[in-house]
Amino acid sequence: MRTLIGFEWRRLHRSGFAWGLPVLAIVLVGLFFWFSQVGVDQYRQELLNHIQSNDEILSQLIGGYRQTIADDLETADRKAEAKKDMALAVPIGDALDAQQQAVEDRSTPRYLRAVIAANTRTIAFDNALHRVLLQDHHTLTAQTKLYQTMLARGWALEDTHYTTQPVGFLVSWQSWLAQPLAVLLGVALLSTTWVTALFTNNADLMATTVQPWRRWALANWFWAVLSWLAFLTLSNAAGWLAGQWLGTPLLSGTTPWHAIVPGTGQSYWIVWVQEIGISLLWFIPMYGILLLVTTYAEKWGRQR
Amino acid sequence: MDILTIDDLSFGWRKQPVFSHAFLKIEQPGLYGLVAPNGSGKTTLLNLISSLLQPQAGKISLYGGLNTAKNVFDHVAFLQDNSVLYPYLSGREHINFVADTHHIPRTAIAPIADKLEMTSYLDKRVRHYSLGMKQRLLLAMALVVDRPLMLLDEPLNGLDPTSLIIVREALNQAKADGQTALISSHNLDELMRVTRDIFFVVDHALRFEHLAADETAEQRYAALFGVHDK
Repeated sequence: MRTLIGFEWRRLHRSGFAWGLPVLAIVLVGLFFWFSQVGVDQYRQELLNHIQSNDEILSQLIGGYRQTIADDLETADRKAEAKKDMALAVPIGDALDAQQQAVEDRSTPRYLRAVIAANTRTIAFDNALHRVLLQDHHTLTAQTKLYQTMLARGWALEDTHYTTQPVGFLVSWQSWLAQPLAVLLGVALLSTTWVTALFTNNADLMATTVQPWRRWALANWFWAVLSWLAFLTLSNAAGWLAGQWLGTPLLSGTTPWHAIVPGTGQSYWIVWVQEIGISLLWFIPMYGILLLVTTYAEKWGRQR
Repeated sequence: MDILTIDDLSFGWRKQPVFSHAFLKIEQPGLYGLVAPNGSGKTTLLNLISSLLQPQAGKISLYGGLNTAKNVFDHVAFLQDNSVLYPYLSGREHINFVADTHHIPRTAIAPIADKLEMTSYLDKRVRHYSLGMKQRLLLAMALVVDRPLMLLDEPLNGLDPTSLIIVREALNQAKADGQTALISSHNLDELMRVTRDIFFVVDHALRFEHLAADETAEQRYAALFGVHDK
C-alpha cells in the first residue's frame, strides 16, 4: 500500500497537479474576495436605500400631519391629535437621518445606536397608534437586541454573505465550500488524474501491476482527501491574508472570532469549523462514490 | 504442470467473433511466437490471458490454476502497448513502481537497464522517449519482475537494428534462464531469429506450427493466409 501511495503522489506531483492546486486556491479565493468586495459596496448602498425608503414613508406621514394641523377646516381635536402623532413620528425621522449620516461617515457604533433609537421610537409610535408603520415588531425587537449586544461588545456590523473582513470572509468562503455543488466541483477537479489514467491505456498497466486492484483506488482516495484538506487549508490561509491586507469593514470596526453570526446563535469560530467538517463529510463519500462508479464503468466498457 | 492452457475459448467484440472454440497449450518453457494479420486478435488474446478481458466461453489456465488476477500477478510479466506508459513520469519511476509492487529489490533494476543500454535516459520523462526507447523501457519492466511467463505484445515494433540485437539477446537470455515468452509480432524475420515455434490465429482459432529448418515464417504465413508473391 505504501508503494501505491508513493506512486500516486508521484503522479500528482509530476503531472503538475500538486502545483496547480495552490495556484487554483489563490485564484478562486481572489475571485471570491473580489465578488465579496462588490457585495459589500452593494450592501452599503442597500442600507442607504432602505433608510431612504423608510424616510419617504415617514415624510409622507409627517406631511399629512402638517396639512391637518394647517387646515382651517379640521376640528381642534383632529389638529391636537395630529400634533401628538407628529411629536411621535418626528424623532423616528431624526433617527433615520442619524442612520444615514452614520453610513455615510462609516461609523458602526453610531449606526447601531441610530437603528436602536429608530426601532424603539417606531414601536412606541405603533403602540400609540395601533398600527405598523415600517416593520413588524418581532423583527424590530430582534434587531434591537442583536444591535444592543453588538454595541456593548464592540462588534462591527457586516453582511453575513458579503464581507471582506478576515473572520466573516473565511466563514462565507468556507460556507460556499460546504455546499454540495461546490464539493461536487472539487471532486470533479481532484479526480482528474484518476479519470485520465482509468479511461486510457494507463489502466492496463495498473491492472497487471497492482494486486488487488482496489489498492490503487484506495491510494488515490487517500491523496484526494488530503488534497481537498490542503485546498481548504491553502484557500483559507489565502483568504485570511487577503482579509488582513485588503479587507475593509462595511462601516467601521472588526469582527472577532467569538462574535455571534446573525441568525445562527453561534460564534464565527464554531460556524467556520462546522463548515470545514461539513465540506469534508461531503467530499469523502462523494469521492468514494466517484471511484466506485468510474471503476465499474471502466470494467463494463473494457468488455464491450 | 502446463505453463499455459487455453481451452475452448470464445470471445468477440459485440457480434464480431475474434476467437471461436480456440485451444492452445504450452507445456515446455521457451520462446513462442504469436502471429496473425492486423485485427485478428493477437492483443486481445494477450489481454484474455492476462485477465484484462474475460472470455465469453472457455477457460484459460496458468500453471495449473485459472487465470485470476492474483494468479496472473504471480506468474506473468506483460509487455503491453507503449500507450500504457505515463508520459509525465520517468522511465526509472515506471521500473521502480513495477519492481516495488512485485517486491523485487531495486538493485535488480541496474543490471537490466545496463543490458538494455537504457541507463543514460532512464531519468528522462517518457514523453521525451522515442518509440525504440519506450519499447526497451517496456521490456525492462517485463524483465525486472522476473516472472516465469512473459507476454510480449509487439516488443520488436519500431526498433532500430541496435535495439533489435539488444532485445534479441535479452529474449535468448530469458529462454536460457528457463522462462517462457509468448511474443506477438509482425516482424516475421526477426521473430524467426528467436523462435521457430509459432502460434497463428487462423479463422478465429489458434494453430501451432513448428517451422522446419528449411521453412521461413513468411512462407508459412503466406500459406496460411493466402498471400502469394507477385
